[in-house]
Amino acid sequence: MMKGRPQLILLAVLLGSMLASHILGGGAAPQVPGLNPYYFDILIGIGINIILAAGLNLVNGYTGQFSLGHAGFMAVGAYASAWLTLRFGYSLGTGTVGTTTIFVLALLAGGLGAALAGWAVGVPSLRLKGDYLAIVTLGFNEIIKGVIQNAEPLGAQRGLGGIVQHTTFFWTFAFAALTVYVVVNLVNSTYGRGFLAVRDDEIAAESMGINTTKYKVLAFVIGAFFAGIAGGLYAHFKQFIHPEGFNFMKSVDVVVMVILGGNGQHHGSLPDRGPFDDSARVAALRLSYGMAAGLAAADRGEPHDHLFPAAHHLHDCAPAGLVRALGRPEEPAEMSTLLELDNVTVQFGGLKAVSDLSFKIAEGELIGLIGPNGAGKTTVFNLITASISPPRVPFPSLANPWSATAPTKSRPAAIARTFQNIRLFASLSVFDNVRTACNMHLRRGIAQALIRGPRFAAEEREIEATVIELLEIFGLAAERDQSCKSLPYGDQRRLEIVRALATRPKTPAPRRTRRRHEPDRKTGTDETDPFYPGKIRPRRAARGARYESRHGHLPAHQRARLRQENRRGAPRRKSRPIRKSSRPISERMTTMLEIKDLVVHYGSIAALHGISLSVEQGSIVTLVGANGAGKTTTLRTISGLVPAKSGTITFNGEDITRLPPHKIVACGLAHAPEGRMVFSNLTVMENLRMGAYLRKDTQNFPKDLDYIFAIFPRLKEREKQTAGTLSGGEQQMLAIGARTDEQAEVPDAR
Amino acid sequence: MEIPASWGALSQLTITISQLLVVAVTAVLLIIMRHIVMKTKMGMAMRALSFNPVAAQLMGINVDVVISFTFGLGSALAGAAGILTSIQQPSIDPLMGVNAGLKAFVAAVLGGIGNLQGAALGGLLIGLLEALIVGYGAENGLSTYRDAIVFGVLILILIFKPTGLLGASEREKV
Repeated sequence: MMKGRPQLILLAVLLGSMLASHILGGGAAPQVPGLNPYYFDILIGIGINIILAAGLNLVNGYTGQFSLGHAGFMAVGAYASAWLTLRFGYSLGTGTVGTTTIFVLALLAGGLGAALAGWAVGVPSLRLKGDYLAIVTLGFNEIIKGVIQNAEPLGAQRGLGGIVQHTTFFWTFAFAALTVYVVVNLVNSTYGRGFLAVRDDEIAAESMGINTTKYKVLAFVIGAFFAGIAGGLYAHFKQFIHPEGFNFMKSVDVVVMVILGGNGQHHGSLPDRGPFDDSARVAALRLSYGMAAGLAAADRGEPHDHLFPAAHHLHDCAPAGLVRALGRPEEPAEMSTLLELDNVTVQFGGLKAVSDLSFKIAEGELIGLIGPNGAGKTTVFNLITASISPPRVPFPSLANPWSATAPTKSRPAAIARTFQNIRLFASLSVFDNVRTACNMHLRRGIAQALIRGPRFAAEEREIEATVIELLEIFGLAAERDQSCKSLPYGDQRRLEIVRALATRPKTPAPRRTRRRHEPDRKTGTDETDPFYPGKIRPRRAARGARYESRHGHLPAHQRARLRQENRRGAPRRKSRPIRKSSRPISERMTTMLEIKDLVVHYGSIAALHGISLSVEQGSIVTLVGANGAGKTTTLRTISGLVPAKSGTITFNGEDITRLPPHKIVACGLAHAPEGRMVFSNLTVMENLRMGAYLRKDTQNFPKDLDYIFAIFPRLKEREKQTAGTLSGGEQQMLAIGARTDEQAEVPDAR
Repeated sequence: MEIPASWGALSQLTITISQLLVVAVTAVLLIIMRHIVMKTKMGMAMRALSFNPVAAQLMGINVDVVISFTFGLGSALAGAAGILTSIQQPSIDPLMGVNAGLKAFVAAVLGGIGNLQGAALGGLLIGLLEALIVGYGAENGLSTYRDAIVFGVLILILIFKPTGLLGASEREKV
């Protein structure tokens, strides 16, 4: 959209509306014979509503905030500009030129006043989300209305009348075009991708060095500015304004318009996987058992030479053990420290999550943080990357200033990270996900994004080249325009790493990973997603780091082809069931699960091409295949989350192909999906009860509970805590425990 | 209902039977509601669903049934509120719920979304605040600022307690 020359389009629209305005004539009385003034009224109303809705779309749609106070900003603009024209209307003479100049100046002043109000609303509201934000913006709307109702100079309860009619067709649609131009061009730039990133995942955006605060306030300010303009146009068209005209219902009207038009939908160019794959929450990481966050010091474009490599100081750190994983012993010992933690303590209420932790990381050094479940590993990571906001964490002396400030506050992120559970920007394409990470290195700001000069274009091209290069290294270039949620699981993880690298890290340290062989409860299969097979192997070159991937020895185009073959279903592509019967074949039990010629399509893309497999009682079946081979899809289809196009799935002789998920569970088929499926808002006990949701034999439940607690005594200790407060490993225990409850009929590997 | 003169200033109050009825019915409904949401299987399913619909399905929850039930329950309570309001007012009209609905939203947010006690507390606070402003602000003209002041207080509270008075702070684990 609007690629190439958006400025020209804007110009064309402006000229067009000027021409139309000339034909229609200014003011409320159209000069075209036969044109009903009522229709003219509607036309102007449409223009004003476009301005309102486009402005609000930036806030509610693209930035993902929920403002219910748009009418308040409109009121500010309307009253400010009306007051100005009433007061100074003829100070430049009574001619058309003079009054029009005053009118436009008054409009802009009204817009600026509204923008100021938007800033005043945005700043204090930043900590709020969803309904809370909605209520606060609604509150501001009511306050603005209340103040006007009591302001005598503005007519108070009587309303303000006698406004001269200046609004013409031209001015209305000129500003409408300008609004659309600003919003669309802003959003379609690397700079503007920040708005979408804030909407999709604030935490991830923050870790990309995006100043989420700035973007949110900016969205409010721009939205309010245009609402103010719209208010001014409205006032100078209707000639009479009343506080009740800008009440809550007016705000709701605008919200309705935005939602009707599709709430900031940025249409990804390729088919999404569909509604089931809805949120980042769903696509969480199976490998989360270990410390999954990776840290890398990022190059901020400043010379770091003086910081370079250091002697390693490894202090004891309780409770988490700190282990130097891959140091380089031959390294000269006079390197200085990149990151230093000195006696750091983190406390959550009465709970000490980290106590007196000290360590240093030198440039080029790779450090793994290990410890038992709940030791505080994630907390340390969160602290370093400032995902826990420092004010709430009493840490006495953090020697390194990087960690003392949130990545986005005073400087761009110094540290890149990935997350335990994949946090991609769900609505963005693969390319845009990575592009967003280049945000913090942008030299051109909002003005350039709007003017779209040659320097802007050059920078966008430069970013594009960087992103493509990174994607090629990691073999994701062929998928650049796909929605990131349509990637297979392993590639999503890979993309997250690419995205972290795009912040230009200098010294990537590996995540501490631990392969999980978690037997899948549903089919009794072991569905281990080969975590990111191409390990990043950081090599310190003269400057910057190089990365190799699994197919690193292949040239880029061959890698791309290889991937395409995988997709198309060349020989490698099939998921192969490996049968590992625990009994001799002679006493093979009955077949429990039987899949015949299963075909699944996502839109027009075929994901499964006729898979057949069967699972006997007492056997364990594992699905093995490359990323994107269709392992997850197979499991999701079995449990009814994805509809099968053709083929049959029978379980204990019953055809379950078309059953809804809950009925399939009722048949006795359990599915522990990728990611950590615990209900964070429920207590541990309630989570376990959820597992037994469909069970009829309630008297046996306590017995099973004892069994689960015997395996995971930690769960017993935390019985009353909400699951969200558990550590990563503990949540995984809970997930297994809850599935154990379900008493699936297909035996699993527990 | 007469209040004994020995209660001092309070004896000037007039409390109607219907007002007492409103309070009593509200209390009973709150207790029932809390029981449904916190203790029953359906309530647990509601809360699970609110957090993660896909996982809830895989636990065997029929999502459609739970959502329908939730809407039904909410509408039933709104109906009860409508009856109680119409007892207090001489007339009814189709739009009588608009303002009340808006205030209900405000009250729920003030108390903390997803928290029943919070919603009740929020409703009580909003009501008291409005009554006090109108009562004491009548002479000095403050009463015309009623809504503005109520929302001002609300905003102040939310700035310091971003998830409402009783809402749990939602710090997401990363």
